[in-house]
Amino acid sequence: MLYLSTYLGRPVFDAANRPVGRVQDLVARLEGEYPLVVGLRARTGMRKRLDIDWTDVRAFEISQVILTREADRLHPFALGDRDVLLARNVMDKQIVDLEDRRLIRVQDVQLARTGTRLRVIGVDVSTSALLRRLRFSKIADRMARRNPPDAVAWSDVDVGSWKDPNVKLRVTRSGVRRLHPADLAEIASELPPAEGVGLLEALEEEVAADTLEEMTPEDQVRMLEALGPERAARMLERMSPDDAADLLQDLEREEAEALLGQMDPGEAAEVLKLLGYEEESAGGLMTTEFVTVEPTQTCQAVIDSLRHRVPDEEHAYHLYVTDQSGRLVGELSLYELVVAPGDVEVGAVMRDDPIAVRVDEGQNEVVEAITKYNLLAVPVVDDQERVVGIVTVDDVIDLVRPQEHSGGRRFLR
Amino acid sequence: MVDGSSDEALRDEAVSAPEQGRRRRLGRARGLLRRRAGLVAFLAVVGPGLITASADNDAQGITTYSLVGAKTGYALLWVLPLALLALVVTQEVGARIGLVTGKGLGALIRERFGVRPATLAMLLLLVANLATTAAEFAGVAAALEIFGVTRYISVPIAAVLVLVLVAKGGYRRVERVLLIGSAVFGAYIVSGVLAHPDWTAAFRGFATPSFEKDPVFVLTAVGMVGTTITPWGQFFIQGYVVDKGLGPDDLAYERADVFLGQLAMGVVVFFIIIATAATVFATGATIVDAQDAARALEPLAGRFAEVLFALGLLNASLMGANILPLSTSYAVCEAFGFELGLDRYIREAPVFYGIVAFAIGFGALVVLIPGIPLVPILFISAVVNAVLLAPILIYLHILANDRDLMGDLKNGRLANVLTLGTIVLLIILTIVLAVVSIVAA
Repeated sequence: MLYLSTYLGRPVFDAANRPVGRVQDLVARLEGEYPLVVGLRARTGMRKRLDIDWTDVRAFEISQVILTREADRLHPFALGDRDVLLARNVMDKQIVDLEDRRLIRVQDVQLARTGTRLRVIGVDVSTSALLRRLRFSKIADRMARRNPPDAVAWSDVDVGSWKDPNVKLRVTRSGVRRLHPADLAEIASELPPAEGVGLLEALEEEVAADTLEEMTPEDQVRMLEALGPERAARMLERMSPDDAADLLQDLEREEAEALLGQMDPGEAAEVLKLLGYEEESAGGLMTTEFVTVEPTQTCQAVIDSLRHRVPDEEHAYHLYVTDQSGRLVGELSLYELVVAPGDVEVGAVMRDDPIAVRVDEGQNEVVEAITKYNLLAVPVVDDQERVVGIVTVDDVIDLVRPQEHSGGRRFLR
Repeated sequence: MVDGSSDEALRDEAVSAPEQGRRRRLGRARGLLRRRAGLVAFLAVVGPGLITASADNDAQGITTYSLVGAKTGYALLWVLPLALLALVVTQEVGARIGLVTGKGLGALIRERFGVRPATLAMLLLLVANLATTAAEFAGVAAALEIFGVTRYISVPIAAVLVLVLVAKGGYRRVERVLLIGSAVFGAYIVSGVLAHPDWTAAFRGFATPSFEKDPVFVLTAVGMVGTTITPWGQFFIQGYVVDKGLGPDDLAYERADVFLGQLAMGVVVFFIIIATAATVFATGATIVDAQDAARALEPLAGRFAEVLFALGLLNASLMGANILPLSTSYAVCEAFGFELGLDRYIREAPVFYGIVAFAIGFGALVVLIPGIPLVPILFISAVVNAVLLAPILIYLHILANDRDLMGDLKNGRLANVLTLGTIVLLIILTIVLAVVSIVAA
């Protein structure tokens, strides 16, 4: 991840390698969700400054900035109405979250390279960013590893323009939202490979794995190869088994086997089991993370155990009731569980003949089961009627609307 | 700044719809008042200046002014009008910045100067305020030692009391009581007259500047300035103006508030010095502990002088012990972007409450160091404030002259000359103090 603060004060040289000044600010144009940096303000002397068009910037590095032209032949650049000065108008300002009036301060501005251009992707409000700016990098890094980066996606930030110097940031009504993995995936996919991997590496492993899950198969393969086997294996462990299996299927056979060998044996076994199923069958679509309960448990006991386990949200919409041999005997939704009296046994409120698909059934049957009965997830059973997995609605949406693959996941948010 | 009911969010344009409605109603009410009558409107606005002035007469202030009278008699009275003038100017600048920007000084320093200069300012403030907090607990100890209570009992109890007040949000109610309690120092005016001071000497000391190379004299002068104009006072008045929701329209009233508040305080200070000079200095005595300082109230209260002084000092100490840790924490959290406010739960704003608790704990522990003398703590903290004030005033000066920030209400020439004069004077005082101390050593 690139941070604005690390570039401020860096020297600027023109095409003839003559010093022009130092980076004082960056100009971003407020268009689209992640604004482009369109200009650079250099400090050229006491109280003197020069605004430079971004097209005149050849190299923008932490060590230095190099221009494409000589200082006296630069394109004229003036700030427009939709432009904002990132250091002056955004950094160090406070954000008010409208919902609980939580006040936070912008500790840094996050940037990302997209090809030759630079985009603003979010504002960092974490204490680790504050410490980094105070040059306590080591403590900051340790802190950032322990807590996920507390950043607000730029799309959630409301900024005025440079003409209003008292500009206030306001997080839109949906409130402070961390940079969502889908946003990061989108940004990472747009970046040149090395930068995208850099972005992924800068993230905490859990977030990085979520981000990887959100990418298209081609991008996933590209990222995984660039990450190197060790880190790729860690990443696969943290992904849900069905996504990991899908991803491994897209790799060369030797590569996939090498990665499986590096993974934690338990996690690898889960994935291997999934890999054994036909890709276009229920078994190939399903995930092995689901919640089963016994018919003799009381509803309250189930709620308590859920609270204790905190399963991933998409895996707990439905609970599957199984007998001692693991055979599926019933099903109840989270809603039914919550509204049932606490002392009633699950067996009394469950649905007796649950909809299920067999592990070798084709994906069309799975889609039909889910759409016909309006399910959020459908259980997958083997020959002995034992539950072996579930297919959730978000795994089949891509099959229903394959033409909107990349943008399609947006409406799930 | 130390307002539990309101919140920093009130300062911002970006407030929720019901909040905007509330503000409009407030604005209308204020407009109505202004049309109604000048006096009523003034009373609606009055407060920040008066409260800051009263809070200025904390344990540190009372002790330092007593020492001025006891050590130098009437000789340093001439410093008082100068210090007061500087105080009125800097407080007016601070209040005006608060009115125009709707932001506290900590927030503005961060936004205008960036993170590292803000860190420097916060470190200076922290050192000055920790010293002053220790002084307040020294005040508690000194006041209760008059009643024979050992500091190893009084100080821990006071620290816990203040902590509970802050954590349980009871501070607002107590603040009023403490402020009214500070009226006790009006007794000095009567006592000062009854003490039959040498009015000629007093007038000479007031009107003609005199100076001595004696380190004690210089130190006393610096302490006098340092307890009058303080870093925390600047943060406090600006925060208070902002929390009260006052805007640029209230400028005239706020100026009157600041002026009258400091004038009232100046009168009290004048008589503290006179009364002590006439009772302690005139007899060739010195102030070693609180009983000695209490003698200044004997002409009025006779044998009850010590009780009266002890109650006043205890009141002033508790007020300071409440205000300083809170004021410090507000400024630091505001500058660094930590959640803050007395309406937050401790787990929502751990840093905010952590700083408050740290300041209280630090202040109390310093006083509990075995054998540490109380009066020097009170006095040295005033000197520390004086030395650390100049940089804070430089930040203030730059902010007040920023047209982008202040628009037409930026500093005029008079305010600039006086602020810069104060800064230069403070720097000179610090250098003189350093030189004299080195020579003396």
